[in-house]
Amino acid sequence: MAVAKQYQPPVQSGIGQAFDAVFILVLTFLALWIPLELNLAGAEKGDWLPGTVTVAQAEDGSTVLTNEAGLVKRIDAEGTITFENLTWEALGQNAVMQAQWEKLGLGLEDAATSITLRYDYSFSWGGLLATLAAILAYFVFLVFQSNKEYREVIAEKFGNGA
Amino acid sequence: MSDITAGGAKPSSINLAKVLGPIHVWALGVGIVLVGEFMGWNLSVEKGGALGSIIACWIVGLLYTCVAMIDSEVTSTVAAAGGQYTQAKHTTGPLMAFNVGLYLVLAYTMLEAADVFVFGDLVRIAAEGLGAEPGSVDARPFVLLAVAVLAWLNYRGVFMALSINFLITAVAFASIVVLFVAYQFGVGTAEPLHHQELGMGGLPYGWMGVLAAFQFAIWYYLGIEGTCQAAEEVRSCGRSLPLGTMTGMITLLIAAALTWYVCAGSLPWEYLGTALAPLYDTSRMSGSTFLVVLLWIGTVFSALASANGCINDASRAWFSMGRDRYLPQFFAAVHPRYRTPYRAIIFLIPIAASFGFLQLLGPVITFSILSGLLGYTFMPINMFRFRSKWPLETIKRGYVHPFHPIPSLVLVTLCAATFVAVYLGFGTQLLAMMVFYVVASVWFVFFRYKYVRRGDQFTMAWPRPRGY
Repeated sequence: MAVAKQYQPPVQSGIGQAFDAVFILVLTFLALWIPLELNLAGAEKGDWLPGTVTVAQAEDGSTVLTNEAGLVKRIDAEGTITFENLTWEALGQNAVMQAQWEKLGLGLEDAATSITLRYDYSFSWGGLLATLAAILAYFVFLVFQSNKEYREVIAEKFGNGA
Repeated sequence: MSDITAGGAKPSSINLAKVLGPIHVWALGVGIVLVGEFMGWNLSVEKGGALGSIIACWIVGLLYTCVAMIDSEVTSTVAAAGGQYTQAKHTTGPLMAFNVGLYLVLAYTMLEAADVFVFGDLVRIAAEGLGAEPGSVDARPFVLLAVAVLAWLNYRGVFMALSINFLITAVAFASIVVLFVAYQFGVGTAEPLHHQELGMGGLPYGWMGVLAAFQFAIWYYLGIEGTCQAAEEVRSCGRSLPLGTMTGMITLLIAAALTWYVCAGSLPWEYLGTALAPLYDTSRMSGSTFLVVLLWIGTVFSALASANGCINDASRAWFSMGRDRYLPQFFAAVHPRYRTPYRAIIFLIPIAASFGFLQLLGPVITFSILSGLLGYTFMPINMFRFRSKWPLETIKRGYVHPFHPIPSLVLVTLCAATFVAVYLGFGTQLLAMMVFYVVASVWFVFFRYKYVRRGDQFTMAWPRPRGY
């Protein structure tokens, strides 16, 4: 069995070691800050009411949602939300639900704010496929490159002959 | 067939202390994860409703059962710190190992930051409950205090750190059981559960919501795979790791089911989905002061146990990478007296503390989930390569998982589904964070790998892998 030539790595200076540790640290902070700075958003909640809903744009720029029970949710241009004809029944809440909200110390307006927001799960197929393709490509690259390095490791550890 | 007689450590004058037993492994795995039952899992209710959350809980539970099975087999033969990092180094190669090491360090460091953030907030809630002016209590000093105490505990020795973790994790788990018994059998509270009346039977977003709920159903179990980090410090790796990991997984499945059951029967799902501490809120609904105090203690203990376990796991992964020179060798030092990887522990503490202090909870959770999920995606690759390079008859395993390759195939399918769920939740943030791993990989290949001794990375006393 032929013995592979042993690779002798260079010795890294103390400053070099410190630089490498700081590099990973800075990279981690950037990975956390960049999505915030670029305002990259995930799934957002949108305005919603129980039952059949009509949406209208008022002359003052407000968005007005109305359901069949007569409940109105108005969102003005500054994002301030107001309700009209607000009742537990119009929110689709039964007596038990109402009692539990009240035990939590939350009134009708507080509950309405939570209940009348729902996620919108519509998404772009292109974006999803691109993301999955990027993850797949990343793993293919890792396995391919690792395999090249692995052969070198095994050759040095066990010798060149299989 | 070769016996595994060598540890993963390179010859060195001081090694990590072999002092842990199965209860410490259980305490490490469950300790890290149990906080997920006290906070975080309920965001899956917001994504898909209460019923959607429990469906996602069981499906993601299957994902983690596959992870635990694969981990138990490979780790029962790899008696070295670093867990999946060390596995990757032996089965797949250096670049994969470097990435897996980073997944581990970042998943645990970010989770630790979230834990101490929650701990600080719980202290603030308690202070305000005891009469402090709302807004007058700053949670941040408590964040720093918690990190400092836990870091000292880890610095002083792994046996004491994980023995304490066992005690506080057991109390936290017991608090969930007591809350369930109180509600189910009317002990100490006359308050009934109202699953049907609170709309448990509905899927407000349909099956799309169930898929979206996968993203946070991960919190029911995130971190159980961390038991592998104890491999070099357990007295009997082949026995303690599979036993501790699988009993830990069973504990978590029970805790997840009980938690969902009492919370979904007590809180309106729209509230439950956004609550900071849903089990604590459920105890408040009982009208029992005893339950409120017990669940506050349980929530605090779970957050501290998780942060403690995360310090242990992140430092072992960082230490192992330093030992192999994947990272600066400076971090490979073992304390001469306490036999802990003290430099790795100390280096990572300010990072977790700063994330907890800056209260960047959203990105921190995103990064933790993404890093965990990337690590789980590696596991099927790991298993296929392990079995093909060293078939069962070639090396002795402490544990052989049944039904191979079904767990690996199920795992890769569920990981793909969870990536879709994470995309639904985080959108383009997911790709932005993937850039981190790509840049780190390029840096490793071109600037870091030159410092790594090639043959020395392979530390196990295994025969030559087939096909190489």
